[in-house]
Amino acid sequence: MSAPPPSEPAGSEARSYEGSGRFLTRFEIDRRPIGVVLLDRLWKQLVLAALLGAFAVAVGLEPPAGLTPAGWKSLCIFALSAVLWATALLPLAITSLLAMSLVPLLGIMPASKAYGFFGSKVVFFMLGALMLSAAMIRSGLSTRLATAVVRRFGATPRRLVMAIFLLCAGGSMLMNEHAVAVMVLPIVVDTARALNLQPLRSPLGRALCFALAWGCIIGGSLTVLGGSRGPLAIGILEEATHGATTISFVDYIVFGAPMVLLMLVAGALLLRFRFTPEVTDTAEAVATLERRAKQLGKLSARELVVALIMTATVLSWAFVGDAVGLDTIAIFAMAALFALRAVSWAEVESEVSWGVVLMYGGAISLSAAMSETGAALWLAEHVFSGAAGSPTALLIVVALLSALLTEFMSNAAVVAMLLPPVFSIAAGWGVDLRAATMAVVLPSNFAFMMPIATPATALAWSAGYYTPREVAKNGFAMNLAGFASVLLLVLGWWPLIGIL
Amino acid sequence: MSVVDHVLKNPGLLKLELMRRGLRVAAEDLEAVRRSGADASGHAVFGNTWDLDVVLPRDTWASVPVHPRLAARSPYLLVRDGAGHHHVTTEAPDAPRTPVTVKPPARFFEHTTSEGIPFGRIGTVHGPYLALSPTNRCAFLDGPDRCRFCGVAPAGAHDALPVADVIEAVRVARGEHAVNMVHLSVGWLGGDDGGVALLEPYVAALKKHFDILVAIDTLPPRADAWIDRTYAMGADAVSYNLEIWDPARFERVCPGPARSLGRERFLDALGYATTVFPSGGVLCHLIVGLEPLASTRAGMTALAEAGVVPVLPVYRPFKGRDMRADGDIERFPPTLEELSELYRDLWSLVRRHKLGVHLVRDLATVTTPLEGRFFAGHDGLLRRIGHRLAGSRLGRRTSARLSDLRRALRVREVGAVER
Repeated sequence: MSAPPPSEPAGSEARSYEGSGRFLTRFEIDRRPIGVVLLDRLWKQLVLAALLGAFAVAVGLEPPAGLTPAGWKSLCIFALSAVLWATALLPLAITSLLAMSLVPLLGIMPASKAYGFFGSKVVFFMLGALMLSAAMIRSGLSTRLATAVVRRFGATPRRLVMAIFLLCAGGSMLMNEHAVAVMVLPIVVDTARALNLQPLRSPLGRALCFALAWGCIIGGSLTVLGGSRGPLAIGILEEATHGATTISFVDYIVFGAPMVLLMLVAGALLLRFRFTPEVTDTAEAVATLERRAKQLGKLSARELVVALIMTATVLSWAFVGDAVGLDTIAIFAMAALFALRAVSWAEVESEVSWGVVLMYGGAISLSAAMSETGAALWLAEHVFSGAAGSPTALLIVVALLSALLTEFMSNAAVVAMLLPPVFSIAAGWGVDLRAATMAVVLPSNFAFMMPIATPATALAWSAGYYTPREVAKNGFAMNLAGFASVLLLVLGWWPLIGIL
Repeated sequence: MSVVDHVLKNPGLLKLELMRRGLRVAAEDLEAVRRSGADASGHAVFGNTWDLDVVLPRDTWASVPVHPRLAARSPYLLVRDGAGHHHVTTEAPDAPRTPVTVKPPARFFEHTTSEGIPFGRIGTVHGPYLALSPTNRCAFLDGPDRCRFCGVAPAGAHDALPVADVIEAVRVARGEHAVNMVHLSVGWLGGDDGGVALLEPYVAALKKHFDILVAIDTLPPRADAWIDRTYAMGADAVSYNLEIWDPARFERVCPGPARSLGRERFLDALGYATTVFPSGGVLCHLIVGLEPLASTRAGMTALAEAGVVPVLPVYRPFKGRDMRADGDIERFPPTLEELSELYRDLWSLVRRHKLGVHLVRDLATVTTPLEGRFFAGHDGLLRRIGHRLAGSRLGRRTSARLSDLRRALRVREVGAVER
């Protein structure tokens, strides 16, 4: 009697999905010992239970010297949230909501006040930005732009890689980098298939995917439009200073531009010299994209409307953003999109990452609790004061910590976690809080090394052209370049422009 | 103490003897079986048309043949005392009287499907044992490939029943007894899947509506992926019944399965199934009496070593398919000594290889490895308590829930492919 080896793949193919007779579900039987399977399947729940147990015990303990009971409870919530954000044991949004609801539950502040922070204008800005992204994707405008750029600049494999890199970087300067990654990924995959690039083997395939991920990450660092962390950081800054200090759309660009420029150069050099394309002719790829372009047809009225609204929105953010507010402009742009039938609610509903919006609200509420109870100040004093002997050293330590944490956590979560204590200690050193904000928010986007770190890296990895080890190896080089760029900002650029 | 006295005091031996030799019953009990039981509803699928359901001591269910032609020479009598309680005894003046409970024929057999087919023709119920056949069509029925012991009447074969009918049949059966396991069987339908695709909606519906274990009794599918699917779709146990261990005799008695699948496929499928199903979840019947006992013994040893639970039903002649006069039968029935030794060894094998036996509990119509525990000398108090707990309503429900939990842990959907 012969039994198959345990490693033999076991799929079966018979049941059709409901409503479709064409597709058959495949199953896999996990043959490991049941104890191992149980641990594998339930370890998250077990860890979560242990965490909640530890949290319950910690909350009941006496607060350390110098910290009020409310501050201690805030700190416990903060620690719980940090672990949950880092481990993703719960969805980020759920962790945020949990943190927000724990604030009134533990008597730190009234529910109306805690939940009131959810109404931050940053939340509404994010909502608008995500809806604008949805409109660009659903109208086909984003695909058309990407296709045009690749068709125009992709004459050779190296130029193709550069075109993807710059397209993603440029796109992420104008819109959410996650949306850009989603938009460009099909083009990268189509191109790779057209060139018959072999998954896990093709250097050109790797270069294209890294170009996508790195382009999105670097480009997204330049403006507040690139990702959620910028608006979140500004929101926390305004909250901490009661609106006295903020960072405008243009200021944000000015503060980070040299870093982005340097990283663009570093990324381009790495892509140029680290990956030698195995093909020399891109004619097939160009032909594929030509077909794609033909399928799009001529520029539709809907795309034109979206393009006009998007242009007007970006210009408004740039020139009247400070006066009117980014959030207000985003909401008006959103209303214009609906008024002109450029997007439907069903499209927005399916395209917008609502979890991000929820995460923002919760994170801001927790930040406020940390700040108001003195927990942030206490934490900052204990974590950073020993490590940093000067304002410059403080910002460097903060940047390093931010870059490290973002490999394991969402960049917005890093910002939400680090900013409150950093503000407290930075104020004590007399550091401009705008510099402190940028020292946290810019490195928080250096999610180069882990596929889980940010959607752009995850999406590029999902194309199947490299292993997680290759992501870590090449991402480490980019992280080094990024940190060198931050050093340049802290040591040279920010003193020069007078914010340090 | 005489052998018969010893038998009457041991529920395992008594079940063997009653299954082997039958039970003489009073005319009124016989008439009840004929009028109201499976026979009256035309039941022919499982052949037990003249059975009386008797609960022996220690909750041992036995579906005992009472047909006069089979039981006429049996020494065992069913008698009633003054209070109306039943006992099994012999005609010897000082013979012990073993108290038993005689179950009235199940009301299950009084029902019909939505298309008017009597429940007795889609399955059988004997106390907690419920077996159903959503279709009893089998490509081997008409022609030379038919299994020679098979009792299914080709003329009575019906197409696949609506799922709702099967659910209703289970509901009716559960209304009478604590049915915890449904055996779904299907014959040879000619495909590669061994009937799995046909059974899938029934299994899914059973799992949806009841906390119940489901055993599948089919011919082995040609591809192992269908065995994965059998487990994934909800089956808790699977039987690929070789019936005969001796290769040459298997080809003669079961020409259809031998030609269409071959003995090796049975063995390969059984071996593969043991890597998918829990311990005790893969079963194989070897009919005692249709080949030399040495061959049956070799078969049960090989099966147990491979992780398969051997189930050894004693051959019983079915209506129109009496093989007793067949040249294949060397000596029928085997003696009680032979049988008790065989089941004692079977119980030892099952214990030695740590095979689960909870899925064969309450199989009234066949003799299972569990009966061996009564005369193998290993039935300690703790084991008896454990057996009692596992057989309780809570134990049965827990067993079904744990089985579902195991499946939830082990089975993963890994996408879909185009048909």
